[in-house]
Amino acid sequence: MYTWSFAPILQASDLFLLGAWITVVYTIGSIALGLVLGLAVCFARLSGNGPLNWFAQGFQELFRCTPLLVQLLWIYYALPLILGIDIPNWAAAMTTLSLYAAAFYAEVFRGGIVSIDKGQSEAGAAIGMSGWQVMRRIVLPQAIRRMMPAFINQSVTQFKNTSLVSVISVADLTYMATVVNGQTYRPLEAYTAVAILYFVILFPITKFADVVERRMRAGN
Amino acid sequence: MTSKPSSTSTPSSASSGSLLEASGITKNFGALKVLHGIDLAVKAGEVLSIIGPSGSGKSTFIRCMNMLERPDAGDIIFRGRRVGPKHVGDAHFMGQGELRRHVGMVFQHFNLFPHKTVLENVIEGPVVVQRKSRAEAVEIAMDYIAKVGLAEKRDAWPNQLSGGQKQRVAIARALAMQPDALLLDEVTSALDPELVGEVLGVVRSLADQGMTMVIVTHEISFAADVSERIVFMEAGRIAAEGSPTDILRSPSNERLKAFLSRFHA
Ligand SMILES: Nc1ncnc2c1ncn2[C@@H]1O[C@H](COP(=O)(O)OP(=O)(O)OP(=O)(O)O)[C@@H](O)[C@H]1O
Ligand SMILES: [Mg+2]
Repeated sequence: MYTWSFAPILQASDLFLLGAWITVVYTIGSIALGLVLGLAVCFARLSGNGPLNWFAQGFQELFRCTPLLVQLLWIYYALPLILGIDIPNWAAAMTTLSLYAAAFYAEVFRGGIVSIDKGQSEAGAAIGMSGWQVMRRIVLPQAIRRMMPAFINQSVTQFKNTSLVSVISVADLTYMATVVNGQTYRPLEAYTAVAILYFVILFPITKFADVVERRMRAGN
Repeated sequence: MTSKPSSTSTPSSASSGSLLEASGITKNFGALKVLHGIDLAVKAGEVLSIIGPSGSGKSTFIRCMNMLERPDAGDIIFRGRRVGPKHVGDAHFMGQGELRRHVGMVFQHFNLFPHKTVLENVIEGPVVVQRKSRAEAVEIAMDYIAKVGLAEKRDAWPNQLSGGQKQRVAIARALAMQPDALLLDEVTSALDPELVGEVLGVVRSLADQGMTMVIVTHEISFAADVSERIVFMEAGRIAAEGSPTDILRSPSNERLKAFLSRFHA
């Protein structure tokens, strides 16, 4: 019978906290960059400009139809050979996570915007509003409410996806578990501790997403 | 009268003194030809109704009149100014935004903004488009909200209103822009029968006050009652046109006769 011993793990708690912090930084950073880029991609898709739409859609399909792990390895190991410059692991990690997030967020935004009844923008236009005023004052406020649950779910996924950066030695939470395992030879405790940490952070967020979704349904 | 003399740019089909005019409007949706060159001029203060079978192009036409639908050919002319790409300093042209500030529209399905209260719906145009102060906009808005009988609903949300109330708010929203003309596309068709009367009552009082209106409707007797002129559309053309008595009492056109007989059944 295996005897659990969390004592060595607790001694390494500063490593876990540092890892958790790094994970949060990569999550928030890539969500923020992904938001901005995702919005740009979304508006490119909706612009009605042929080449722009085509380019944006190509970008989305590329990042949605290849595994994140492959993207990460490609940008870290393959891209530098093409560019002829070194890409540090943190930059490769942040870039890949942000591009990946942007591809998915763009689809969440686009779905929210096109789900708003055409009569809404026509009513705005009919009182003389410009296209941008209609978007900002009529369509977006309704679309944002509607896309909130999908947006939160995508962000939760994004948080978990950051664990992949450990394969290019970014010292995130998952990477720290491997480090602690190497020091203590206690894989069961090390990986259990890490799983618990992810869970403790994400569980309240998914509960919050449920509340948002229920309130949104009640509102409509 | 508010209408100014037409400028020299008015096309040959213009009847002088018209406020809003459609000239040779053609519209296709892909291969489907919906409008085949429609000419129609509305004078200031006139109430004109458009009737016709389903699919004859009434909605498409009235939506062309404020450029929600872009005609493939032909012109919309407001006070003698052609609506089109604006040439800076050219007084003969007007942009579509400017047209819509002068010509309001009320839709079949109300299209109230669900994330705004009744009052916010109605002040949206005056504040955002006309750049009026909030206080001034509220004053104007409350005036129209009261006129449509909904003063006590000013802080209600659209989903708390009946269909008839929603449509009356939509009318107030259009009126708050203080437009020169109003386009109404089947504004009672989405309403339960018992709610039709309250909306028609508001439209009738606008007619009494001299509002210029183009009304697309299936309420034939209301159209006869409230309009100076009725236009019968058939397959993308104006098939008959005249006073309510001409159109309803002595229809000359066979298709019009057939159309009207369905309402007397
Ligand atoms: N956006 C569109 N795309 C393609 N076809 C359209 C579009 N809008 C209208 N049509 C078609 O154009 C024709 C005229 O439609 P329209 O809505 O103008 O008719 P209507 O006279 O208003 O009919 P109803 O009395 O049923 O409202 C119809 O055949 C319709 O299917
Ligand atoms: Mg119609």
